[in-house]
Amino acid sequence: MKTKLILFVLCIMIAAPATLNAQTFKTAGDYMQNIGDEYEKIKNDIWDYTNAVARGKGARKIENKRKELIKTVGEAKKKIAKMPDFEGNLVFRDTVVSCLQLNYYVLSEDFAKIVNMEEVSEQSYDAMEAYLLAKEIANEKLDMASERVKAQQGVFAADHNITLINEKDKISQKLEKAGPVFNYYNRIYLIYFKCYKQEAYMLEALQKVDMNAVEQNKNALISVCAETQKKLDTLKPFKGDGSLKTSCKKTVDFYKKEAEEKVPIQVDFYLKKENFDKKKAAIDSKSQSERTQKDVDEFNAAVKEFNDAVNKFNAVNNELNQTRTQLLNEWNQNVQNFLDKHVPKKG
Amino acid sequence: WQKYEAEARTQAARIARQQIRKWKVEKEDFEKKLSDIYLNSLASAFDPHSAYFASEDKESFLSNLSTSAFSYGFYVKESDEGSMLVSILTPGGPAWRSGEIHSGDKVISIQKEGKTETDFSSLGIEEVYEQLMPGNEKYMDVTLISSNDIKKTIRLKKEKLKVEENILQGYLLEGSRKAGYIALPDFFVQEGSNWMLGCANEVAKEILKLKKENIEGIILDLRYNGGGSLKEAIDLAGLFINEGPMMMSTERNQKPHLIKDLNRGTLYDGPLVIMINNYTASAAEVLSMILKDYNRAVIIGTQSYGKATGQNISPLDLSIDPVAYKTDPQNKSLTKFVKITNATLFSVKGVTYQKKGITPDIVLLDINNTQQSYESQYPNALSPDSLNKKLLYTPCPNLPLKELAENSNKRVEQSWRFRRVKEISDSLQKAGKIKTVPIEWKSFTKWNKNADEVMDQIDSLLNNKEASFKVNNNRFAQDLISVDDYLKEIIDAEIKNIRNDIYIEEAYKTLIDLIQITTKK
Repeated sequence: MKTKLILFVLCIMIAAPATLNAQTFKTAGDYMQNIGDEYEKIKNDIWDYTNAVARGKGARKIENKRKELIKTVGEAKKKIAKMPDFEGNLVFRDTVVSCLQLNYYVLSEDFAKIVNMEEVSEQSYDAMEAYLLAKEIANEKLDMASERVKAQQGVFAADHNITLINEKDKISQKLEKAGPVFNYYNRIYLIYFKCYKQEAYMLEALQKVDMNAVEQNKNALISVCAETQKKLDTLKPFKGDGSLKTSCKKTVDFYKKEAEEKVPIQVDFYLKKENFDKKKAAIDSKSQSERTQKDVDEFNAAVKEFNDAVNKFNAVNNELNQTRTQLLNEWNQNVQNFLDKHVPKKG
Repeated sequence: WQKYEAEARTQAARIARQQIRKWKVEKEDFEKKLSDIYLNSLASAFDPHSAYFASEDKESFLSNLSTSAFSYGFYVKESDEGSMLVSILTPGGPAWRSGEIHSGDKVISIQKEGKTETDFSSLGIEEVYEQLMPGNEKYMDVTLISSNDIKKTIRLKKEKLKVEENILQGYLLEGSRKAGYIALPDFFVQEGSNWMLGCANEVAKEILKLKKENIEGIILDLRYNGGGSLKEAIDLAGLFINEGPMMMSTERNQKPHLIKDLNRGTLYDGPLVIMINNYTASAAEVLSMILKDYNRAVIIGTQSYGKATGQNISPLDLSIDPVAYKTDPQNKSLTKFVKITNATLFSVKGVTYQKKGITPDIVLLDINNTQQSYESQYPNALSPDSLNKKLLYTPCPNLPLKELAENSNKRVEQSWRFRRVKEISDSLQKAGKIKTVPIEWKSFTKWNKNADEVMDQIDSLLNNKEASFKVNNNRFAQDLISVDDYLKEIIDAEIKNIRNDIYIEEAYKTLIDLIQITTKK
């Protein structure tokens, strides 16, 4: 779940106003500085959070950092909302408050407050697609809000003869470097996750012995893996680092082989099992005197065939479970290594 | 006529006494019977599908939608002398396992737990069927006389047995092309299934078995399918459709509810023909509607029934805890239920087939329903509505329906059987308009003889000896019938019916056309 958090961080970064160097009109400068101070706190929390994700800190620590960030944004919004107008002008303040409110909703994943969830739901195949679509729409709205803040900042500065200087401190520079790293990671993660999720649906159906769902999801998995393999073929490594791409490809190749070669064995087993159970019930319903030698021979042959099918099924299951676990661990390790390597260190 | 008059008078008197005897019961039972009739009339006054159920009626209704139902495991038939004889015993069932009941035994009476004895000597076959239907009792004592004149009473405990009508089987139709054929009697659910799996899963398994035989197309027969579980209909549509919205439903004072395919991907994406007729209703119409909207199947047959409403069954007593009910369905306090129409169904285009039915792409005259019955004939049936909402969906490419219909029409025109079907159908329709029956003996026997002759002609017309395909089992079924004689009997009878059916023949030929046109070979 690291990915979706990082996306929100990037959106906030876009909204952060440039530092300023007040030239005249100290009071207007103080006004802008007050807003800038709140953004400074947000930026520091973003960096703490980004760093926690990149260094593979525990899930609880990352979640705590995320909550701190949300709290900081909320408090900043309240503080700025309490600021009076400046010479009768509330537009700049209100634009900033509105943007921070959107940030707050996006960070809290309260998409229903930003997006028409009914429409999103109708256009989506499942809850995960709905979530991704809602997030995409929310981020678009956030981008537009950020642009409005930038524009109003410019207008306010111009109106009060303030020159804005784009000077980035160390944290801003590091956040700027971290951006493309997370963009790359998110791109691969989304295509990885689509295959991962589709396999999960197929496994769920197998557990329920819902042959209808197994076959449908198996065929869907084959399609989505083929699409993903094409996308990965055109994806370049990140600054020469192809570890994520390779790890993703290995996993997707595994899913495709699983769907094409192994799942049919499992499905076959369930069909054979059902037939065997029916055969057994038919023979059991005959009294000893009614059973012919042919019945006995047929049944014994069926038992042997069924036992062979059971052994094959168990062998396939074990192989798949082992490989799946191994690949998942590899993927998680590769993600951690990638982020640790490319996201600038703290200090 | 004098020869038959005395016997006919005795028979008529027996029937009249049976009718009276039905009402000559204890006061409590009489009042219950009367209130049941009144409450059911009240429910059905709202619309034809709302109903009142006493618990045994509910059990009977639900068993028709299940793959298993309570039964004592034997059937009876009426002999020429009016005796009730045991005809079939369900293998492995309670009667079978008792070892005391055999085909040909004469059933004298039954006595259910907590009830008085019911003498079968004065009952007609319909009443006997009614009496043998399990109710809330746990057991029934059956008194019979065996074929070697021994009178005995056997206690049978009721058990859940397979409902034979709801057992699915996929067959191979092998002619110039190899096709799969599956008849789906209704949209049943599987009781005892933890994951609410039902007929969609069963059809999926049969298709998987047929695919192993390298079929080139499938015929799914929904004739006489009166509906059932809507969830099963959606799941079944999902087998053939990759993903997308399936349909919408509306309930009072609520926004339209969108129903989607829950599983991405398809199980079968090859040529598909669906057979429907006037008795295809409700969930079966939903399936046909979805496959039609998506250009996924060719629909062949006659206009379907036209029921696009959904019903719910709930206890009449709203204070009943549904959880407690589920864990103890035998609770005697839960005896009254009501089936209420609570939803109307719409296609992805916002259109309903309520009171209209699904129009087939290829129309075949159906000799079996000259006495057609449609939803639209009920004066209190809900009127069709429309929904001002369109959904985004991606249908399959258009099917070559015009060409397929032209080919079918040519074959039908050239077929002496279908020509004869039309002639008989026309004359039956004419006869149906005449509301009088002669009572003068000679005229009546002539009238009755004509009717019998027409039925014989229909039977022979529908006995297609020139079928262009052989009907075979898939390898799984073949394996099973090698040890299961009872199943073999059922399957052999079914194979014969399929081969004789001129409508399946025409569906098969349409499927071949579809395969040839779409694959260009």
